[in-house]
Amino acid sequence: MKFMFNDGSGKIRELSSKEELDYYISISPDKNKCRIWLYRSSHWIGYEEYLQRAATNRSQWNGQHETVKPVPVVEKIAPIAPPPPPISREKKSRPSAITKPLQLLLNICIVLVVAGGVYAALFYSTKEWTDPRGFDTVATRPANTPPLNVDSLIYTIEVKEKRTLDKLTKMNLRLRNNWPEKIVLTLQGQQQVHLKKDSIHRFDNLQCIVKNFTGYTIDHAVVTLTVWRDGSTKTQDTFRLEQIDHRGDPYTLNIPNTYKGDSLTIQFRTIRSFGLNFCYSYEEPTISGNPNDKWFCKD
Amino acid sequence: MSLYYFPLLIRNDRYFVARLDDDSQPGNREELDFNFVIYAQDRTSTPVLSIENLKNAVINQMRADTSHQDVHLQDCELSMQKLGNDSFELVIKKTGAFSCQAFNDMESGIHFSQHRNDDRVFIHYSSDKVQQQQFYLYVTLEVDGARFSARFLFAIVHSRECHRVVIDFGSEASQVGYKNCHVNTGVIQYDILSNIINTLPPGNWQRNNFLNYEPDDKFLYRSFYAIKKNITDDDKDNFLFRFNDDPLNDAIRLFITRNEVAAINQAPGQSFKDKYIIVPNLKLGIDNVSLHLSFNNRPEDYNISTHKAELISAILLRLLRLMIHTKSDFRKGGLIVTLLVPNLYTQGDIFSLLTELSQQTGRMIASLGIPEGVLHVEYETISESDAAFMGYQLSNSANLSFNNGDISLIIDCGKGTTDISMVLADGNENFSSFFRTGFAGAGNVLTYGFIEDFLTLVLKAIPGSNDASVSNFIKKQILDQNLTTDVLDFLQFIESRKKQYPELDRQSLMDFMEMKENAMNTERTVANLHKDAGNLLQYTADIFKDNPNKIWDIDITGIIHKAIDCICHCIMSSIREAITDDIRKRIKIVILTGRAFYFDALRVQLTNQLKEVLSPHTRIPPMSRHNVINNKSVAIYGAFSGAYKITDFTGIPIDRKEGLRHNKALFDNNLYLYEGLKIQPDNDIIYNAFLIRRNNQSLRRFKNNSIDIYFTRDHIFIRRMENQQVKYVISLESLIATAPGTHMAMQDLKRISMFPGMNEDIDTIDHIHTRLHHKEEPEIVVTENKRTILARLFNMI
Repeated sequence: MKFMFNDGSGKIRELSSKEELDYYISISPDKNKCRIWLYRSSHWIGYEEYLQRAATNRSQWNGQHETVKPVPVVEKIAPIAPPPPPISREKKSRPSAITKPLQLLLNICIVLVVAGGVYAALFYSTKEWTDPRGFDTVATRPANTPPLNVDSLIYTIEVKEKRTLDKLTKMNLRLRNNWPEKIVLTLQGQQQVHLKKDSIHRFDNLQCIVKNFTGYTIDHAVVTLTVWRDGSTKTQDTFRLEQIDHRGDPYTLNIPNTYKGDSLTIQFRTIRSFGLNFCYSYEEPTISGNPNDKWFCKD
Repeated sequence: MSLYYFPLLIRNDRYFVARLDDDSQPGNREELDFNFVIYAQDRTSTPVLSIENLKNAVINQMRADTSHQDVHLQDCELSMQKLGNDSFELVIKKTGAFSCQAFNDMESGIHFSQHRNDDRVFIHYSSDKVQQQQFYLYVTLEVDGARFSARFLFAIVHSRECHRVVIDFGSEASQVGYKNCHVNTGVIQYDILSNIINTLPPGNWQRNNFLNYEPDDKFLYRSFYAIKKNITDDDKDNFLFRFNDDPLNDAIRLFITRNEVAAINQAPGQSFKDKYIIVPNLKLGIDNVSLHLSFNNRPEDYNISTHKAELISAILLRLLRLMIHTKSDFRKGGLIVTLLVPNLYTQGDIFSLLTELSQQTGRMIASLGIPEGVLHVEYETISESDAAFMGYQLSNSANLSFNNGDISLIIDCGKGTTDISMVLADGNENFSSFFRTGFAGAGNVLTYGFIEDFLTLVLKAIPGSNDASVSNFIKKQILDQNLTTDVLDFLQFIESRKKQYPELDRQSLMDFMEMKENAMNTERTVANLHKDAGNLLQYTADIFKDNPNKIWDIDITGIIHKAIDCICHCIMSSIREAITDDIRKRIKIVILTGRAFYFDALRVQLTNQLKEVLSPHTRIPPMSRHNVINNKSVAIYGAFSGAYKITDFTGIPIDRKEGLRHNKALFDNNLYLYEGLKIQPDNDIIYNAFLIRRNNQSLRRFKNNSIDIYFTRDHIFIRRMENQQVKYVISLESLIATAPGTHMAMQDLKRISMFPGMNEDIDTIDHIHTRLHHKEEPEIVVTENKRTILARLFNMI
């Protein structure tokens, strides 16, 4: 039996055995996002349905001689991966091993710590900082990607090559040259102003949000968050974003850190989309060397 | 009012069941029943009409409410007389003793005599020099002072001036062949499209610019027609038969160009689609829809089913007119036109078609400026699968030998329809086709499977999501577009994948996704096709132009395998009921013909299933693609073969318990009559994939009695005799019911076979296949239980 596997990112793998499939399922971060295509079927199925079908077709799927043998690593890992429902049940049953007096003591400690924390936080904030209010900033268009009249560019290419570019090629060319309009990076959160030193702001509950309007999945990107103080960079943090989908809700990364400074900015450092043939780098003037299509790249 | 039927042999190759109706009713006597063409040679006796098997021949009476009964020919006096210059009468008079009075008319060359050795009487023509002439012949039965007759028109022509024309009026593609009756020449195929182009006004007409163009065979003509929307004509009933020499503005267009369907920038009301409705051939055969026409600016629904005979006749007559127009040899003498028709046409369809053709032929000939009486045309029909058998027998006679009672099963799976026949041999090179059935669904289902397979990969598998609907895409981007250039190119691309499938390089999904054009600066890959649904068809055709030898992995969806399953299921269901133990033993060879069997996977799967049902030792030989007589042309060659007694009708029910064992009439090569069937609870009568209901109230009077079934051209009668008198007669057609397990699947395949000429939603092969396995299989079990209940019910009546 052969399969196709999609871990939810949109990248498809062809797998020639159930063992291979089980391996990829076991290493996927979220099994609920996994999609499996059984050969000689016409749609993707979810993990739960796969388990049901695997149970009913066990002999058929395992009994056939596979053309491609699984690598040894796969065989070791596959049996280790237990199905999710039993795990959760086991975890729930563990606390029953703790004795009742010990649990009571533990609960009292937790309540005290939480109450103390809340009191301290309230006391401190009321003392030092203003009430929190919303904050957001959008990444500015980088200098190495200036606005471009792509219609004119397409016309030039078509005249030069004496042929009409097809719709898809034109569309991708537009997307790569004007990507800042299609990949919108926003930093949202809360900020408070110091009551005594009003130039100092405190930023927390931060979220990095990427809205992807390209129609292609962004395979990975790196963003830099910069904290500014007195007109110069105080600190810089970088975050790696994976599998930014173009469908559904915008991609959101929660940033647990709290920053203090005058202001925050955020910027893409690199962006990579295999489907769009797109590689962007903040540091480079061009990736492809072609001034008409600076961010084109292929594997 | 009595009614008699009597089988006659015309020339020596056509059985015709004459209907002798009462002369006392006004109009009956002068009504012309049919016309025939007899080709003769100088100084040679040529049979015109024969009555065979004199000792046993019976003229059957088919009314229960009269005093008249069957008339045995041995009790009759046979004579012939001349009624006028161009009129003769064959009189069969019941006198109580047999006699035959010879008749000779030296002036006309018509003679009547008995041939004692052959046990037959016959009218024949002989003359030193054949004179083209026509005469009316009455066949009259005189019983107890009452007269019953049929009237025929015979035309005698010189064999040099007579041609046989075979029109394979296929559901998807048609072809025409002809040969002269005088010399033993080979079959000449007629290039329809080239001849149409020759009749068009001067212009840049290219074959491949016509929708009717079939890329790999110039003699095949894709059956696309168009009917004019706005008819301005006083004679509304005959608007289809107004023949003229302006093919571009005819009421029915035999051709459509790609430019016409692609033109979008024309003024409103001026484009081709504003003026004409495109009608694929298959639609004429089976669809129950209306065309929205306008007669003198009054809108009207023109129902295809009710005007089927007129529509098909109008097209066939135009094809024939084209031949007569382009071949001067055809403008005088005689034409015997054999039409190959799919088995899904009912006996009634064929009868009304032949009648319509005969009535309108005079108008067609007159439109060519040919004087009356110069050119005579006779029509006959033959089943496609019967013709395929004859063609196969013709080309493989050295390897075939049949004993009396041996059966051949023929399955002709073409582009649009599948036709199935069982042919019984009598040991003297005569064959009777006693079982015919068919359904709409053949190569087109495979084509649709390829489309669905490709779109499922592109719209679902590659994007990694089930969001897109293949059905919706097909509806919006193919069906609703109504044959645009993009759609036609895409269909052509799919056809090429299907035809070349075994030679193509199968790509893994990853390689398939990366497939693109060989052009710089393009990112149009298969993987990106789903992003732009509006251009998917066009881009696909473009990408595959640069990758002509590649195809995707058809195992990913398995839809093509499912399409094959569906076709095999319908074929096997069609014959399963008829394969009794007796028939199973008699089937010596299975012949698979038709273009769909070029797809090896279908042929192999069907072969395996047939061997399971029949016997592992049953011969199922493959047909070579490269012979002159191949899967496509076998039927047209076969229709010229004289080794067969052609019948326009089909008949002979199969007794589920006995098979054919006790049907003596069948083994006497008498397809007209099925004798002595006993109506009993456990004795199913199967007639061409239909079951005759045993528990029907209408059959109560026949219970536990022997009945006879008569197959005439216009009716099928069930008759019960009592004390040698006709007791009851009913119509068999009112009692037949679809055999279980076939109907749903065939209906689904019919809709697919209409693709892309159907503007309704079409179910996916995936769904049809699922239904086959989840709904129809249990039905078989239900039917078994039902049979017991029905048997009990029957006993209670």
